[in-house]
Amino acid sequence: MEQSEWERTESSLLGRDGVQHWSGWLAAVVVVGTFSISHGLGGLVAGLVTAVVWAALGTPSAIAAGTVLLIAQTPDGVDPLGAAVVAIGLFALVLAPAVTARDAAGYAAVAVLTTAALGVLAWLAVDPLGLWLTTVVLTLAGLTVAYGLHRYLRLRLGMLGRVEEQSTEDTP
Amino acid sequence: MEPTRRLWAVAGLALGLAAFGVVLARPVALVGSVLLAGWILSRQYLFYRATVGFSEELSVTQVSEKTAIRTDESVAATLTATVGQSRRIECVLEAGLPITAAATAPLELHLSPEQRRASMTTSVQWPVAGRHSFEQATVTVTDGLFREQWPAGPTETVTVEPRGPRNFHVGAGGDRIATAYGEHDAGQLGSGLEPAELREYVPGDTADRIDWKATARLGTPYVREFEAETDRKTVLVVDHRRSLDQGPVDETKLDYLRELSLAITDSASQLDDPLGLVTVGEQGVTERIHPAATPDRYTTIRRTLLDLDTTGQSSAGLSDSTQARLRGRQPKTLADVRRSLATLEAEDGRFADRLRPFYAQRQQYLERISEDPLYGAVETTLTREQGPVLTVLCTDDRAQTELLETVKRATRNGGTVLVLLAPTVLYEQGGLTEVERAYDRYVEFEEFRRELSRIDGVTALEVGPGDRLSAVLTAGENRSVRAHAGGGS
Repeated sequence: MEQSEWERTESSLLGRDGVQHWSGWLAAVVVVGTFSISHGLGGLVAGLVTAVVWAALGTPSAIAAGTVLLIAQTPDGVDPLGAAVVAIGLFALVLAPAVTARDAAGYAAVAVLTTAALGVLAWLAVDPLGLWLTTVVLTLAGLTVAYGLHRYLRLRLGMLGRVEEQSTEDTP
Repeated sequence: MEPTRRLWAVAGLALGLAAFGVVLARPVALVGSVLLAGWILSRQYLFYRATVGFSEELSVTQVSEKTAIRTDESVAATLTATVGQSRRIECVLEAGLPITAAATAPLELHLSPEQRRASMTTSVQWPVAGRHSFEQATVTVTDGLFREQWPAGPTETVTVEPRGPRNFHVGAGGDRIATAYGEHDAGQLGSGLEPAELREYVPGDTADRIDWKATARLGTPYVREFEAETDRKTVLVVDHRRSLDQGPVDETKLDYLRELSLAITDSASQLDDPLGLVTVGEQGVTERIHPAATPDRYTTIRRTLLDLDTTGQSSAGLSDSTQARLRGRQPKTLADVRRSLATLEAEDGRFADRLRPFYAQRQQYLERISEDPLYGAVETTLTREQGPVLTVLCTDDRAQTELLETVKRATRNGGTVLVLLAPTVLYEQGGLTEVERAYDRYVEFEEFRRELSRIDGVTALEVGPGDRLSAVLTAGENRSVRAHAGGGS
């Protein structure tokens, strides 16, 4: 049941308007602005490229492109403040669809909380654990949250009780 | 909640960025990974909310047109889905058809985000008998990133009955009888195991027949008699002519009579009664199995009965010798009649003139009877068998005169006859008005059945679907009540 007409990597729950809505374009402007503020003219170009990628391929690709361009802009190492400014710009892309989402507040809350939590976790873990272990920790943390939500959905759909009943019936 | 390929691509992108950062030793790459993880989780939350809301609004029904059917019957099954308000989630519903059901097209519904109601009907065939329950319908929703499946809606149970006679009625005048064939009195005393009576010793009785205990108790010699052990030779005569094909598919007269014949075969097998079979087609005997009490014989008879079908071109089923025998066969009395007629024709006088039409009519009648395949079959069969024979005649009530003569022929030489009659009126399809008319015809049949039963040594029983018989009898009763009420007022 793939949606062939929906080429961009987005949830159909946000609709086409989720991308073409003014909030999306506003987020793209924020990306260009934050890149420009933190990295000058080079940042402006990087921001524009990121915005183009966003318009063509969607938010995940734009985040990946923006991150790679940020690394490329600072070959000698990025200052935390500059990285935070660019991250806020890119986060605007994540947050923009909240305007068109049915549960805007819930969506925004989840986006802010999960991103902030994972960001803090990465910040805290990267020094003591090193980069690759931090990657593992972040992956496990993300998977745990995703799996928890998956199980909770099945519980709400009444499928967990059903499985337990079946296994009880099967027991001699 | 399963991730789609698109979601795997985003997850791969996040891990790729992290790997990129590890390779270049640039922790800032984790910023992208964290943002992508936040993006995935926020989308997952959206999907969770949408799915829960959708499941609460969704109403699914799956209905079979009929819930009580016969094997191989096709009935329509309908799947309907209704949702409360518009939503942006794709949905596919699949009916939970049992594995034993064969649908002409998959019973699936695609509910686009704009649709509030969708329905689909398809024809489903049920080849396997039994009670079959639908599983709950399976609902699959996706937003392009996640997919979830769950069962929804009520289930339906379809009862599939095997084809063939059902609600079997064997009886007389609408009353069911318990057994038509089974254990039987020998009607004579002799050697055996079942004690019959005690009688006083008479000269001529051998000493070993004296019951010493009874003699001591009663003070005078007594002899104990026993029931004689006998086997009852039985010949099943099964009519499978065209008229026996009447009735719904697999519930024809022949199907009912076949079931009963099989039951008699089983009973005879249990009692070790010698059993034979004669099947009668349009032009004569199509199969003849002589009576014997061997397991092979019972099996052969059973197989023959199961293979039996109504025949319109019975000469194909006749052996040359059988046809020759049938052509050459003449009832013994026919020659006498012809001789008498010839004598009368040669004579003059008022007495001969008066008698001649009666003899001519009698001759015509006997020729007609002799041409009847059932009569011929019974005649040739009983001529061969020695001793008393129980003839079980399985036929219908179409040719009543011929059947009457056949039964009379079978009772000659001390034979007994069990007539299993399929009343035509019970195998006709018709509505309520026809049922009332059918009652009159059933009464006519009943008179004929009683006429048969009045013959010594004959038991005539009706065989047919009990529900149809009940409907006919009820219609007759209602009419009587109405007539009575009309007369009273």
